[in-house]
Amino acid sequence: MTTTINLTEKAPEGAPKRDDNAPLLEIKDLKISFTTGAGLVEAVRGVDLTVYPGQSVAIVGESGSGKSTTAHAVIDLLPGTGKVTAGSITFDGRELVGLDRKATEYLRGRDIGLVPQDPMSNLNPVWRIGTQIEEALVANGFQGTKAERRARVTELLGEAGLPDGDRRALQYPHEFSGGMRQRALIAIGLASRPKLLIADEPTSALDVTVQKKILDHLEGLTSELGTAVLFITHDLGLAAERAEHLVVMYKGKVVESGPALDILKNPQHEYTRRLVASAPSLASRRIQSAHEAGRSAEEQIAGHEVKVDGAAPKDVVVAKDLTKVFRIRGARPGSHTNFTAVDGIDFVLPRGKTLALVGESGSGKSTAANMVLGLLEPTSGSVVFDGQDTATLSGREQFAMRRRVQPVFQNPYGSLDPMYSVFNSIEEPLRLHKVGTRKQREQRVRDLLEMVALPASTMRRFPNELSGGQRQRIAVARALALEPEVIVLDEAVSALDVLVQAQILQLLGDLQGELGLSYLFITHDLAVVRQIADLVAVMKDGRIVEHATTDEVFDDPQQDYTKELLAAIPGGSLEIGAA
Amino acid sequence: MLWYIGRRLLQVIPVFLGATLLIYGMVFLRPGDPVAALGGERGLPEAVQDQIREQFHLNDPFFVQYLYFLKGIFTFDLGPDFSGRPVAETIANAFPVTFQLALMALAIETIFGIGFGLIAGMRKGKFFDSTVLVWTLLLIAVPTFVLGFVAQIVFGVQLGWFPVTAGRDPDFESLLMPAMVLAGTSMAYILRLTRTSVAENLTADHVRTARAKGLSRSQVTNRHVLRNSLIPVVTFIGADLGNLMAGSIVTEGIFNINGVGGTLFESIIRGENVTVVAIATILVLVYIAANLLVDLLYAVLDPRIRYA
Repeated sequence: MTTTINLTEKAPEGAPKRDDNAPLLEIKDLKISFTTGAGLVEAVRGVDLTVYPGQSVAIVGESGSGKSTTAHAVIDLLPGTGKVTAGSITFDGRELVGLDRKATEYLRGRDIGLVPQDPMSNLNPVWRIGTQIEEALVANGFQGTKAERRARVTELLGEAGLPDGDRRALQYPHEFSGGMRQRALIAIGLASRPKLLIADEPTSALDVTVQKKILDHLEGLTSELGTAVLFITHDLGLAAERAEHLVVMYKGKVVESGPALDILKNPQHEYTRRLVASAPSLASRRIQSAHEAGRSAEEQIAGHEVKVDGAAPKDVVVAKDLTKVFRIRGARPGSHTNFTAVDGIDFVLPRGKTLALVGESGSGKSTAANMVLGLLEPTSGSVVFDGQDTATLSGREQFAMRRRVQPVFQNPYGSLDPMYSVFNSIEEPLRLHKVGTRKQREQRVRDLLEMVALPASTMRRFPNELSGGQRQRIAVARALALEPEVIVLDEAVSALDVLVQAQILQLLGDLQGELGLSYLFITHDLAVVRQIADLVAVMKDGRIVEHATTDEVFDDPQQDYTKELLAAIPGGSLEIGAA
Repeated sequence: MLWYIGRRLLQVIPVFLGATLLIYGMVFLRPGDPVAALGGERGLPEAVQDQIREQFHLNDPFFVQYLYFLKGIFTFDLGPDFSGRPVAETIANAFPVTFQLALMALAIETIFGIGFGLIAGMRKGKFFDSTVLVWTLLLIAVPTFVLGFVAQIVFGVQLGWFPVTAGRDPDFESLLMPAMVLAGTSMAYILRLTRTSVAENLTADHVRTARAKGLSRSQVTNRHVLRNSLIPVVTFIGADLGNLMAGSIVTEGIFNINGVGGTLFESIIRGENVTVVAIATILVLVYIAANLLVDLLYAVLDPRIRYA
């Protein structure tokens, strides 16, 4: 009796016999091009990559390195005009390049799942969560009655860390928080038990603590199910912590690959070395250079201060019992509820220092920043700027005060007017405050660009011609235009790649030393705080739970919440011996 | 939700009063004496003219006349027009055919606009898309009356596919060509709107997620592209119902249909103020109702919108 019965589902043509040592996914010399107005642009230029069953592999690289493009090519979801021009992708022994549409659709979800990047935009806003998970089941051959499907959806939601799945399934995406949406997307990705899960920056849009919870959960789930994971990330620390094997990509090529810890401890390629050196999550335990630069700047400022204004108060911004209550319109006309975004916080920003306001989204840190900027009026309490309560200022005085406090916002793509040239953007505050003649202003713009290390020729260009890092430099230059004393940096480096982030932080440190600036640094990223801040105020639910010097907070956190935040820094637990 | 509908219905009151007052005012200010014109070349005797003026309150001041009009509206008795025929009857005769015409046009523009728009959006930049874009541009550029006459000559006279004019008590078939002409411009707009919306939605992240789930192309299109794309289109269609009723004035003239358009036109010429204002008011109310309906439909299509 040697009849072999194939009990697995009928797979389309020629699925070869598997043995466990055969790679699950093998990419060989993959090349991908996009057709643009300027001709063919090669985004991926010869990538080799292997994932074994049950293994976790991470592709690390900055934006534009081709990491997402490579991953999307695997499931034939290249955006726009993207095309695989050469090379091969084999999955489970089958060639995927050139596979017809039906076979690709069969493969998606069933064999290869995807957890996409941005949980806010990856769920269809018009369908219930349950419906969207159910779709993934039905599309991949789940047989069963409506009730069975419902039960399975509830089960999947529970598995992804959303208990109470019956109720959750009936809700819409907009009723979910970012973390919950990402869990729903994980439920979708794993709904049909794929052999490989592609996780494309699955948590980069989430708070660190949520990120840690979700990644822990994902890790447990995939190892339990024996799913191989292909991580795509820009965060080296995260990659090292979550994957066994690292593949480092740079400008469309794999520059280095190997076991995660080996690469971190002994990076071979120049780019990897830079990446390891500037990764804040890894560096946070040892990089002191920026901090020290800050200290020497402090001495400079001390002299500066005495020269310029001996009588000025030591603390340039003092927040006293600052509170902001928002009225939220209720379901019936006239009814409303009050939401306290900032609840009686106190903090001081000493002159020439950096105070970091740290917290997760919804902790009230940006609301606090907007009150310091004078963009929001406090419900109670006060912001004392340079010894003067800002609430008592007249309109004219407030206008004058704005000169002295300037903001840099998170998203350099949104904070620069796309219709304004770089020159117009930087010159605008000067023009508004009637500073100098046109000639003088132009010279000032030139100087400012030099200060942020951009060539003067940049001023004739428009934001869309510049990279994210360059734009953020321009936002910094604009903030500096009026020679402010305080700059409020609201998540100013959060949207940038690590290397660019390191450059901007360095720039901010240098400028602080040079100009004696005081920074109010709003961030959710504790790793960055270590590099730039002198003082830290940790915010949670509108209150400051811990306010101390940076060293105290990092070496001896007093509050459980601060400890939790510190523990959530990706790669924080890794010991790295690299220089 | 009920609060919302209630509030919207309350808004109808000031809109109604404002619209009627405005239209009544404009008609009142119109130069010329309708009563003097009644008798034609020879004119009516003074005494008869005075009697008519008395009967229709034409000697009263403007606001008194307006109040008489409001009384007529609320008692559902607008009285007779100059020829003795009840105004209500004139209106009741005119509206059904125009309503049918507008609904047919609405159906045509919705089906073809969304259908072709969807295909064009999915094949953006390809042959079908480019062809359709040129045709819609043409439809938008050519005035409705030109389109009407051309259709009459080509499809009515030369090819003989449709009746040239509709005439009294038109049936479905004879209204088909007028409805198509009436729908033309709006269809072009709906098509373009759908096309842009679909093309934009196709590149949305959630559509990629839907494809990554393993859904087939038609499932992705129907469930994740089309529904999301329809949200802006629905707004347009609702606002357009009002335009169709108004636009029918030209179309009805061309195809000789005795609907609201013709009636309104004649009433303006004859100075039948009450009829003119009544018809205009009904059009305003239809417009308001259509917009309310659209706003409610909006909430059905997009669960993020909840009215409170």
